[in-house]
Amino acid sequence: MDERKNQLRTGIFVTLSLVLLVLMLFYFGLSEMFVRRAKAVTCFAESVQGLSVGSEVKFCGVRVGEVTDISILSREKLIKVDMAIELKHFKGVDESGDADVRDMSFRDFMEKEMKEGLRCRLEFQGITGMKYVSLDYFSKSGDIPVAPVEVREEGAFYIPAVSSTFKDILVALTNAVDRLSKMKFETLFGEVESVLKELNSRLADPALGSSLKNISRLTATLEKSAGNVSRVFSEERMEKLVSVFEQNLVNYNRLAKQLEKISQDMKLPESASGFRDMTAAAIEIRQELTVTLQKLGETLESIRRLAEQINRDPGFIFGGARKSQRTEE
Amino acid sequence: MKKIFSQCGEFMIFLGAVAGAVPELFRRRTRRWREFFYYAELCGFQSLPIVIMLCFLMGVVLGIQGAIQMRKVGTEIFMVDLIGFSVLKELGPLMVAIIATGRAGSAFAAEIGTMKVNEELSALRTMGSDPAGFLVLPKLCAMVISLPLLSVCGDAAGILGGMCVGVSVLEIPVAAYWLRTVDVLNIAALTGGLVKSAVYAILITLAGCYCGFTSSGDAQGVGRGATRAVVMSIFLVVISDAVMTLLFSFIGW
Amino acid sequence: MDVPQKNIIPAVEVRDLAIGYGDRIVLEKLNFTIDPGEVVCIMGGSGCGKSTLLKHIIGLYQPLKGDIFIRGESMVNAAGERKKALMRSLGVTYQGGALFGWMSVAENVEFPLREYTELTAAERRERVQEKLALVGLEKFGSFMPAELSGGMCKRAGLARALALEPDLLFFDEPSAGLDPLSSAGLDKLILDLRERTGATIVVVTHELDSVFTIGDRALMLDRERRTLVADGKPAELIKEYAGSWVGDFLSRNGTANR
Repeated sequence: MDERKNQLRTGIFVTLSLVLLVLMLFYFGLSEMFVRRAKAVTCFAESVQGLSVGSEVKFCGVRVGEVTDISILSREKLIKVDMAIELKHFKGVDESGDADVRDMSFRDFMEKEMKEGLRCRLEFQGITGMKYVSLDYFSKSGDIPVAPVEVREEGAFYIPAVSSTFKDILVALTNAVDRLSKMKFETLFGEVESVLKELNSRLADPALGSSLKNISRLTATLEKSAGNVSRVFSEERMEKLVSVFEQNLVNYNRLAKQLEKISQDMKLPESASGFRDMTAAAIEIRQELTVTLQKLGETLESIRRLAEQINRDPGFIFGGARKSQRTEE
Repeated sequence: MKKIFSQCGEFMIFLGAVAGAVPELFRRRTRRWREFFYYAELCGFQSLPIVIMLCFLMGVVLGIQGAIQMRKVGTEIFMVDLIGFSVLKELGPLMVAIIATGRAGSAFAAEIGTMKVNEELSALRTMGSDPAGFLVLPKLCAMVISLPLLSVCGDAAGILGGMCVGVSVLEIPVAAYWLRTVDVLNIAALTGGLVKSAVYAILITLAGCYCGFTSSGDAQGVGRGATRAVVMSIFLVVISDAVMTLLFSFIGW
Repeated sequence: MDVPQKNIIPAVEVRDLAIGYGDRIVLEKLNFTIDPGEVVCIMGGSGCGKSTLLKHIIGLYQPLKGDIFIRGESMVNAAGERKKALMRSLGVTYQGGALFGWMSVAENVEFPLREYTELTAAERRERVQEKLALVGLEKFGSFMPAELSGGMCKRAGLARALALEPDLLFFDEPSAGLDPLSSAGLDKLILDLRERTGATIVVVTHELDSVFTIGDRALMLDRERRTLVADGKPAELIKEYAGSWVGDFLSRNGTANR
């Protein structure tokens, strides 16, 4: 009848929906209940911004579990992150048996790995700002850091954490900025300012103006005296001097050659007159040389006097020059 | 203003009558399996094809719209989250509620209005029955059971629709889509949607029956009552959706 | 024909009743009694409040003022289960039969039995068949109300009203919308019922044929004066109120219909 048809249809509908419901419940959550998990705890000393309950836990990039709770340890000022790690991802770990055996097996494995440097670290997940807990060999092998007191009291399995790369960069940056901020910019600027002020006042001093004028006059005078000096050491005189000197040297040379010849041809009795001649010639040369040297000395003396004169009064150069110009005219 | 108050008062009286009749559910004699099956079939099985179709299309539409936006930032895989959560939490229950409003809510109003015209309500009362309990409770039970179940079917259809778009348009592998779906969706989203669905069922039934009871006793009044039932149901559904979403967000659903 | 006796409790007693909707008073200062076994016709022009009065008497509406006693028990002050029981003890037949559309005729008749008696399924079926036979619908038990004619619906409604075997029966416009033959058939059925069960019967009608055929007593309601204007045997009323509105109503329409 109609009623039976109603019931049949309703029955079909309810069965279908319930099957679907059970399937969805299973896939969307209840299947989680049959997954064997181990609990682990880690503590971060940094902000866990971006990490939330349900965030992933990855072991060397393999998703092995999720964050189940995040709390603050008020005594140590640490962020405690509870994780549930699915044991099926660790093939070597004993998955069968009861919870205690599984836990122990997992702990043994993890402790071994932790000695080799296994640590927790916060990592960014994509560009969204979300984070996940990464388990990897971030540290050098060695001793395992001790768990915070509160975690130890709880008896939870502790995996130590290292600060994230981001955190390291942040620390370095913070330090640099800190140091910068610690520099006493005010006193530094004060000093610079006072130096500038001093300089300014010196420049404004009138004495500086006059001495500058003196300097410029001095410079001009010096230039003129240099001109005079060059005239005194005129080319002709110098050439004459040098030619006299040369001549003397040639004479001396000739004398030396004569002397040699004499000594070679010498017969002791007849050589006495030759020796006398030679000596007379040498005396002559020596006199000439002395005259030359005297003249050179006179020249040097006159230069010295000139320099002295310039030193005493630079204006003399101008005056002398003008006088000499006038006399030339 | 006075009218609104008096209407609220009327509704409260009606609500009281229905609530007062609830204990009848626990008396063997007054369990009305027949009516229950009739309405369960009406708003359950008969609505199933349209619910599945609409929810599937909703998933497809949402998938395409999501894909266009997600592709811009290269986060196509998050489309799975978008479709999964919006279908489970909002669209599934809402689509089912709207279909139920059109099918069941207006039907309830028309049925009770007609009974009023035919003096069947008076007859019921003179036979010592409580019309509120007699007429409302079987509908209420049928709706409260069949709407969440319909929502489950709608959810599945919606996710399937999204999957079709994801696989065909965005070329996400079926396995990847499925794994992501299973991974991100949780029981809280599903049950949250089902709870909403049950609340919608209650509201639609109450609005439909109330409009039937208060319709004026003529043929025109029946039509007006049915229209009013639809408007009132959708209004109540949307308001309650907002309130529930807010409340669920407090407890983290 | 039963002679009213003073020492027995009246089946229905109406005291200083005022009825209406909100502020609008339809009828007031109503005082009458109906004795057990009587067949009383409540009459009046359209819109005078006949049906409304009936609905007050059977407890569907609360009156503005006054009280109604059913077998000495106040209907107005009864509440909760007591009122339900009191209402259940009345058999009411509505204009259109008011059958529940989603149940077959037999199920409609069975409904009060299933709800309020401890009868077994077989006993119920027997009782349903008996009541359907009484109204001449024994072959239509499996029909749905929509498949029946108007007169059949009314008779089925009567069968349902009789299911709990009440001693007080109310009919709301039994002949409305029926052809004269069906109407006469229904009148005959009412008389038959009185013969068989000795129940008190109250009929609201404007069909004068019925009034003269079945009525021991007629109560005339006037819309203008908003109260009861005449009370007595229909045939006597014509004489008593000859020349007035009541006499006119009864005789003119009556003769016209005859």
